[in-house]
Amino acid sequence: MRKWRMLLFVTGMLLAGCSEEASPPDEQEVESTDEVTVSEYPLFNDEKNRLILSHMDVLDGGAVRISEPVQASASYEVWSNGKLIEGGGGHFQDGEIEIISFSLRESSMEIGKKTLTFVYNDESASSNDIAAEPEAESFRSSTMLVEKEDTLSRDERKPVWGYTATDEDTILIRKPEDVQKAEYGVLVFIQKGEPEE
Amino acid sequence: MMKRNRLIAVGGLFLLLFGCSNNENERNESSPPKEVSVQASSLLDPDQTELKLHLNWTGSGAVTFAEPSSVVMSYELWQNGTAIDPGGTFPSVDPAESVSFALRPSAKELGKQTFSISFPDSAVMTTELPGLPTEPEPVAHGAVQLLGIDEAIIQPGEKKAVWGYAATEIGKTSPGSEDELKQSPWALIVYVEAVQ
Repeated sequence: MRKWRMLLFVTGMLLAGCSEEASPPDEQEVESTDEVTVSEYPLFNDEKNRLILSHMDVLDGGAVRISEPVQASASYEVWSNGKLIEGGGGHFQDGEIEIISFSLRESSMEIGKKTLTFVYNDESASSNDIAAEPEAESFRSSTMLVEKEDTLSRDERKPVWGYTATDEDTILIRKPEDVQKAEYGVLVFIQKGEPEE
Repeated sequence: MMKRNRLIAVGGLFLLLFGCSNNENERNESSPPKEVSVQASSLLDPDQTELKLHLNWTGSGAVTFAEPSSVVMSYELWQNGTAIDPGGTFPSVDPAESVSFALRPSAKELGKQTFSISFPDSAVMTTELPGLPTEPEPVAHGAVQLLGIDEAIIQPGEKKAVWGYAATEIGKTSPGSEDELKQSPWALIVYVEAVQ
């Protein structure tokens, strides 16, 4: 009887040991392949960068941090009164992307146009000269569209930042639709790619 | 011997006190002009790569002062030995610890260059300069550090060239001094003047 008890105990230990070893890797795998979180990253509002920004024509910008390194891309859309007038970007960056920053400035290549730059933490960058904003618009604003820790699912194209120029100061950007309806609106998206094999 | 030593000590103490009070008096009557100790610096830290990639600077530089100093910044634009833009002056409002400057392609007028001088207290001066020459091709251009590795002293009322940006014809020696800059096809020279 005593032997039986011992055996039960040992079996129990084995089972417990097995289950402990077996279940966590499954959970981790689910996390790393399907869902990560994205949050705002302070780049342009960092105090030590203030001096540098005084030498730039940057209208506005922002940055996001992904909870773990993934294959990722940034893309944009330019909207005018509810109509999509231009889109671009979206090239997946190989390697380990954690921070993506973006800035919008007046173009020095074509006067009136704007230059939208994407910078990744692997020190790759791309600049796009995008459609000009209508001249009369004088109320400009921008906002981060991500919360503190938003989930980013596989293949989800998530709007993270919006910029608008309008002729009235009543438009408040709260959601991507607000940017799309403005006289001139720019949306920046990020997307998580397929996990690397 | 003892007495002599004591006398020297007392005399020294007297001198010290006299010296100190003299300094204090000078400081009390509106702060006197001071020499400025200046050293070359850079505007971007090596760890600011993410921000760097958003910049479209043609060139940039900075200088730091050994202690917060009242200075007047100015610039001149030279072309083949002639000053084509005598520039403007930009004084620091409060004593500044440093000053930075950057040159970037203008977003207001195609081909022109925008030049900015910025103090850490957020005061910024921005001006549009004629563009860098594209003829005769080929042209090389780059920043020229006019301060050595060591600190330089600027006397009150003195103006010192601290940084330059020049275009040179390829094959010719890059300018290394204020005079050489002035002879270049296009040269911007930045000066620091210690307030008198």
